[in-house]
Amino acid sequence: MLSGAARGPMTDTTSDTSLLARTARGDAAAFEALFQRHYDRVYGILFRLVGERGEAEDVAQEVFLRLHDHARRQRPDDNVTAWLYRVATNLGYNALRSRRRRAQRNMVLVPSPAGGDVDTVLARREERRAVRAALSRLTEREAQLLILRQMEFSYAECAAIVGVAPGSVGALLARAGRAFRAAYERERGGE
Amino acid sequence: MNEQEHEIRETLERLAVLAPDPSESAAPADALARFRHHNAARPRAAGLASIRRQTIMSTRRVVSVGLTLVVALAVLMAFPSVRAAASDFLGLFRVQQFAPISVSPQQLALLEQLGEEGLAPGEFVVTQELGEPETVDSPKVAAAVAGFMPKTLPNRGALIRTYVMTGGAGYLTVDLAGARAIVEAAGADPLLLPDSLDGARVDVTVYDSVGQLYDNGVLLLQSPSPDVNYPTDVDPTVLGEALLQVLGTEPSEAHRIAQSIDWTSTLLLPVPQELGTYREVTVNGVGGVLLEPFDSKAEKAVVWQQDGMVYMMRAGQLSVDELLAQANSVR
Repeated sequence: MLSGAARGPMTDTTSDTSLLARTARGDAAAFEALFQRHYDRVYGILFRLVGERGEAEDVAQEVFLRLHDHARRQRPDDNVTAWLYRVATNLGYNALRSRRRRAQRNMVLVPSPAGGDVDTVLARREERRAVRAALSRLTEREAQLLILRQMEFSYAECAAIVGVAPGSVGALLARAGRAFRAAYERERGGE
Repeated sequence: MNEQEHEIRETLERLAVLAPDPSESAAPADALARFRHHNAARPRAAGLASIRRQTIMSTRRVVSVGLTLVVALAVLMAFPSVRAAASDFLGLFRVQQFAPISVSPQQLALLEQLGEEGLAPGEFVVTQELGEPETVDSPKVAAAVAGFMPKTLPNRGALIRTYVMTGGAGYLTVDLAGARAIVEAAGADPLLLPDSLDGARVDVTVYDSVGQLYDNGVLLLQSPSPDVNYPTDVDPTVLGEALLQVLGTEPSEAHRIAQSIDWTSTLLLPVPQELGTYREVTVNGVGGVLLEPFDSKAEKAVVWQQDGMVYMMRAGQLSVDELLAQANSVR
């Protein structure tokens, strides 16, 4: 089971569960501590999913509003951390699918990096496009696992967020990796 | 490092290109300031809405729940939007009967949790908000506003208030991945939802309703049956089966029940197990459903449909027999 004291932004000695419980009692500072502890990673997941800063920021706001509301419903055995990142990925996918439905995906999938050498910028943009296109050919669970792992979430964290047994994460990642490589090669081969 | 680990590492390195550049990095301080602003505005708005809701009793809730049910049903009664020409929007759902189904608190909690976690069956766009109840002078005035003459209780106590609430409309664009995720998380078979559902649009219209409150506490609500438009080329039985499974019905039982229901005209009425029971009754010669809460202080209610209208009567202080007698006297 994940705890708020696992590592990275979760190294603070006060657990996420405890901070959220304090939030439920009206402690605004506790919630802000949670916000500051997790914002970077929540934003990081969303940016990787939606590929656009403004949209990632908007969805991140929604994620933390939901976390704030969740405080009142929290149960002592809840895994708050996993809940938070699960909501982030769910809302990120909702945003992505919503955009796809509006047929705007190609217009905003790849953000325009500011500055830099033109060739480098274009090459990076093309690489992002290919990687994102390859990810879109995977199941959402596979893509989600790869993104989480790339952000150095532990196997236990990945399992708790995605909702699979910790022992199955390695095999799922391997399968996701194979699917990604095949899809990526098709993308690059199709140039 | 074995070969598998090496391959995974190689993949993850490839994915690193998606990480934000310095110009795209998170700005937590700005984000927190923005959050404070949003959050500070929310409680006041919620408070006002809450107060407003309370002043209109529970009538809005009743109609809202009705809309929710229609929408929930609509989610699973959608169609392929790729052929969303007007001629495809021919399937028309109108309530002709109710099918009550008992739902466990655990299943309801699970569904609530899934919604909270951001799983959604699609995007629902409200094109016309349901109105707030507006008190009018008489049923005759209500008829002029709502467009239908409300039935009344001839043997009633005094009518102490009549109000009209304008209807609402909206449409759902189905997100198949989200819908399947909900179905799967609820313990049902996600593949019951066909691929053709993705992107489908379902239009929902709820008409004006009239409420009449009597001095014995009886509340009579009535409204034309809501409409749900969907195309004719989707088998609603299969989608109804999925909905039953989502509500916690065993797969074999869900299959059996789904086959026995006319899904083009039946509105599922989920009844939380822990809150009360239901039973089928006859009102004015047609089938209806009596809802009896376990809490003796909560009011009993009966719902029925007749001649294209949906009726709901709340009992006030009446017994079940008195409630049914009153419902049978509605003219």
